[in-house]
Amino acid sequence: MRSIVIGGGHSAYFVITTLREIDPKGRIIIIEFTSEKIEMLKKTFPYAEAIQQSVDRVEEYIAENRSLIDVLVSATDSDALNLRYAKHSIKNEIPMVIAVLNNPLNEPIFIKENIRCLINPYKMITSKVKEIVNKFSVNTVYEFSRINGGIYALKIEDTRILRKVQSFILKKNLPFFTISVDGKVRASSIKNIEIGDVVYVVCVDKNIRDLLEKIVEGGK
Amino acid sequence: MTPEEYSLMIRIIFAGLSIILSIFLGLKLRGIITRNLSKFGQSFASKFAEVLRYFLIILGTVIAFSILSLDVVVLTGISIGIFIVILISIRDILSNYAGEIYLRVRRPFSEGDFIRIGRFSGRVLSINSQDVEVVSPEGERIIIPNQFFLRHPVINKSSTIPTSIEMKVVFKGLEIDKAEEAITEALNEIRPELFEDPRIISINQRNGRVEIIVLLHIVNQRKIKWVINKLSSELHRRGVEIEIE
Repeated sequence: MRSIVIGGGHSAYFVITTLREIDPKGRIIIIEFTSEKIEMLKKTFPYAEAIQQSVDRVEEYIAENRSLIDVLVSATDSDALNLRYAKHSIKNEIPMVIAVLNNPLNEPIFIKENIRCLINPYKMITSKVKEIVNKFSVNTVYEFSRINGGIYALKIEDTRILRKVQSFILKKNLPFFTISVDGKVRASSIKNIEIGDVVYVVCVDKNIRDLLEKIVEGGK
Repeated sequence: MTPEEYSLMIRIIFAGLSIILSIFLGLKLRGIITRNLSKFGQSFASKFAEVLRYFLIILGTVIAFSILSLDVVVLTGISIGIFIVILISIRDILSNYAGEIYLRVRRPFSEGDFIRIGRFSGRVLSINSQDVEVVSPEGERIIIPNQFFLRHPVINKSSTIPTSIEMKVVFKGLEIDKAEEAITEALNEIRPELFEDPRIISINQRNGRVEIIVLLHIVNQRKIKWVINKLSSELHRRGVEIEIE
């Protein structure tokens, strides 16, 4: 698989190592703007090709190689450039175009421009803080990129929520497991869910929104 | 004021009220529809609401005419005639709108997906109210009317990335062992461009020819031709005569 990674910063580092891990025999080409970084990239990633291009010539490179590029990851330190290259790649029909965000507040701009494969590294902060502090009603642990769904943690705070969550899991026949207050993992039966437990379910986001609405309605 | 004049005045007032009410209802309905259908796209929702608003205004006007007690039969006849003529002349446009409703509600594909419909295939650039703009692998811009999607099955290839292709490589005048060795070496050369390791499915010897079927996984479908050319040039470089089917 021929992967192009634009940028040589921290985000690009993780992208390149992951691409290498998932396809060790694949071809990875890194595009960077400065010669100093190119030298560093060649040493850090001996298995990849590092090419120096000026900011305005990257689009030309993409257009010339559009029939050979399988994956393009725009991971520069500038969201403006990431958006520009991602948009250009989609226009050139690159099968997989991924953009890595630097500023999470720019996410709506990328979505509006139809950049669907968007990595927001800051998204984890919310779920991690909630998990560590352990004070939440619903925590989005993980959101899938290809479907509108994810893994959600539901805190069982009282009997009303317990009943709602039990009937929700039963009705939708959802896979789940429970972590009790003392940190033990249980996956036996919905009858064993207790107040204070955190229930982890895998479902589509519409289902979780419906459940939340029911919980809020019932609380009124 | 004579009773006839009084009756006419009442009818005029009611006819006016009918038009005002239809305009008012149209405006209210436009807001409600735009809000509720915005999940299918803002432009689609506002267009749909606008069509309904005009329909209500026309309805209000027709009611107003009937209240005025003009010759209803003649009026209805004229209205139906105009309506049929309009319907016939814009049937393709209406059919395209119906296609858009289908595409927005059913969502068989999104912008950026690679689709095949009929004999056309390509990546979807935009979904509009009348057509879908697609760019073919050869770079041609194809405009497909929305009604086409109501009549033909759509294959969304984006969900089936990568594409697996089977290829038969025929070696002439070569032993099975040598042919297998040559194809393995050539496949190793093209491996960095593939999604996964290529697989040899079968090796057969017939009439002094060795037939090897290989399976390749490719993400970018425009690369297929390039990969085939690269494979044959790698084999030719090794002095091996082949045919690819």
